[in-house]
This record gives sequence, structure tokens and C-alpha cells, in this order.
Amino acid sequence: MYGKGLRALSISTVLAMTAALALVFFYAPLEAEQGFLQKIFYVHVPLAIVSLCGFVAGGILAIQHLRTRDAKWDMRSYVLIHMSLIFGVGTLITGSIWAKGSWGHWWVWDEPTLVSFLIVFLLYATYQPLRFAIEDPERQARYASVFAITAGAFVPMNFIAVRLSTAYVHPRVLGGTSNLPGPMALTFVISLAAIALLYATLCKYELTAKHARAQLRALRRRLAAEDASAAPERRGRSAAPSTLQPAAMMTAHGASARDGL
Amino acid sequence: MRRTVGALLRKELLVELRTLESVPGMSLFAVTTFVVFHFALNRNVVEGDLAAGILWVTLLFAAILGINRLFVADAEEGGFDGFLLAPVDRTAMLVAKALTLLAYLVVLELVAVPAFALLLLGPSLGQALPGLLAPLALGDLGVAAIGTLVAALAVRTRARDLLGPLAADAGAL
Repeated sequence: MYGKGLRALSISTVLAMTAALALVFFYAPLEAEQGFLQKIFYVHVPLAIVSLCGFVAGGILAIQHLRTRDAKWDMRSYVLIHMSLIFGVGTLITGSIWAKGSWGHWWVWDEPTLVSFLIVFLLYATYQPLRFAIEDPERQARYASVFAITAGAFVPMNFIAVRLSTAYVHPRVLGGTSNLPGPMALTFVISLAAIALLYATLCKYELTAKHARAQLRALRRRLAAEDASAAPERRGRSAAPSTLQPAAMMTAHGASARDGL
Repeated sequence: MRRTVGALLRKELLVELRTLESVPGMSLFAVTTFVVFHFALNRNVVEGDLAAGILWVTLLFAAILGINRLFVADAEEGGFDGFLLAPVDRTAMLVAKALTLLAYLVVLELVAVPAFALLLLGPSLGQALPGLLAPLALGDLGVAAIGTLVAALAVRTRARDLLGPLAADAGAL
């Protein structure tokens, strides 16, 4: 169901990443003030943009889940937010490296964009504990959706507030590529596309894996049920079913809530 | 006694590793509290007494989260009954829980202290660390001992979510 097109997507991601890295290292000019350090911008900003868009998209999918009560929307919303969190970690790390290089500190509070990203990140870091603290899968999906919608609406609000704040002196990298010279803008756009593709590919992989695991579990359970009903007739003829059955049952029961998606 | 404590400690750590319920929550709480302190104090860097105060309050509150959860699983899932049925010294449970809490606190500090240094602390961590290690270790021992006792008292009370933190706070004083 989710496996279709995975190969094409993976190949295009690899190509785009290679192209982006090649452009970053060999094509984009060195920035006058910061020099080589500025090149982390081609990773940092796309990571931030993609992860924030992923948070918002997770909220939109969660709305869809609440409307249809279909578990697959919740699964998609979960995977998007999960992947966005990982990209968010990447954003914070690359941002810290950049800050250390240009300001000499790993963290600076004067950057409203940094701080608001941290707040968004911390907010979403509570998503998973909340989710896995609920046992009932249906309620888990519903509560997680409500959280995803609220938090997803908070993301743009947070950044608008930052934009409106008067102390805003951050270089407006999010305001379009117009203030960038041509080669830099091209490299940035390609990097953004590559990171977005990477995000999409990783999400698709996770969705495929989750779907396959759920299918496998359903099949095992059915096998176990068939075994249980067929066991009285087969007894004595072969020992195989009786050894297979406990194993299948154990996997079905041992599956954690994390896999239950 | 030592074997019992070892077995209980292993069980506690295994449960925590499988559920990841307490320590990640405590660490996240600590980091979020540092951000809140930044906004509440409106300061970018802190040092001296102020830094010590922020660190202690944050670590204590984060510890209370762990203290609160320390006995809940045993009380709810029948762990106490199982333990009481076993022919072993009862003290073992208290010791094992205290050691568990101590382990939680150490992991918490491995996350929270670097995060504090990163977000708020003025002097670099290398300068601050030598003077910080001994107080942290002693504080951990104290909080682990008192916290376990308080958690064991509070877990069977009606308002344990209220009483636990209250008593742990007072106990830490």
C-alpha cells in the first residue's frame, strides 16, 4: 500500500542530495563575512523549514483523522511529526554549530527565530510521551490528533509573533531568496528540495514499515487462531504446529504500544 | 540482601528502559524549565548564586517527577504484593528504589547540566564542573534517600500526586 514508488522516490532523493551537496561545496560562492561557515546555512535552514512544515502538515492530517476517524490518517500524522522531530534535532544541532562559529556561543537567546524554534521543538517533544502514555489505540489516536492540531496551529502563530516583535534583527532567510545572489539562491532552492525529498522518503519508509509490520502481525494472529482451532485434529501427527503456536502468540502479545500503530 | 537488591534494581532499570517513562520526562522537564527561567528572569546568561539556585530548583522539581512515579507501578500492578510474598528482607526494596532514583538523577544530570551550561550558564562548563561535581553527588544521595522514603509514604495515600511533591519538597529542605 505504501511501498509503491518507494524506489523511485529513494533514487531521486539520493540524486537530489548529491546534487545539493555538490552545489554547496563546489558551486556556491564563499560568503564574504563568514566564509566557509556560512555553508551550513544550506543544511540548517532547509531542515528548519521542512521540519516546521512537517509539524503543520501533521496537524492537517490530524484534522482529517478527527473528521473521518480513520486510523491511517493518525498514523500518517504521527509519522510526519516523528520525522519532523528528528529533523528538528538536526536543525538545533546545525544551528548551534553555526552560532558557535559566528558568535562564539553554542546558544544565543537574542535570536528570536532560534528561541521560537526551540519552543516549538520542546512542545512537540511532549507529543510522543503523551501518545504512548495512552494504552487504548483509539483514544491514543484521538488525543494525539487533538494535540497535533493545537500544536500545529501554534507553529505559524509562534513565528508570526516573532516576525512582529520589534527586536527582530535576524537576517531574513525565510523571507524569500530575493536577498541572495543568484548562485546562492539556486543552491539554497536545490538544497531545500533535496531535504524535502529526504523527509518524504524517510516518512514513506516508516509508513511502509509500519504497515508491513501491522500486516505481518495480523497474519500471525490469524495463523495462531487457525492453529488453535486445528490443533485437536492434528495432535499426534506432527509437533510443528504446537511449537509454532506459542511463538506466534508471544509475538502478538509482546508487541508494544509503539508498534501498535 | 545484596542479591535481592541487585535483582530488584535490575528489574527497576529494565522496566524503565522498556517503558522510558520517567527519565526522558524528567530531562525534558528540566530543559523546558531552563527556557522558562530565561523568560522569567529575562536574562541571557546567569552566574554565581543565581545560576546555582536555578540549577537546584530545576533539578529538584525534575527529581520530584521521578519520585512521584517511583512506586506507582508497584502499587497499581501488584508489585508490592509479589514482593511481600517473597521470603526476603523488606529493606531491600527501599534500598533498591533509592538506588534506582539515584540512577535516574545521575542520568537526569547528565542531560540537564550540559543543557544548563548550553542555555544559561555564563562561565563555561569546564570551569564550573569541578566545583559542581561534589555538591551534585551529595545532593543526589540526599534526594534519593529522602525521596524514596517520601514516595513510599505517599503512594498509598489518597492524594498522592499532591502529597508526594509536597513532602519531597519539604524533605529536601
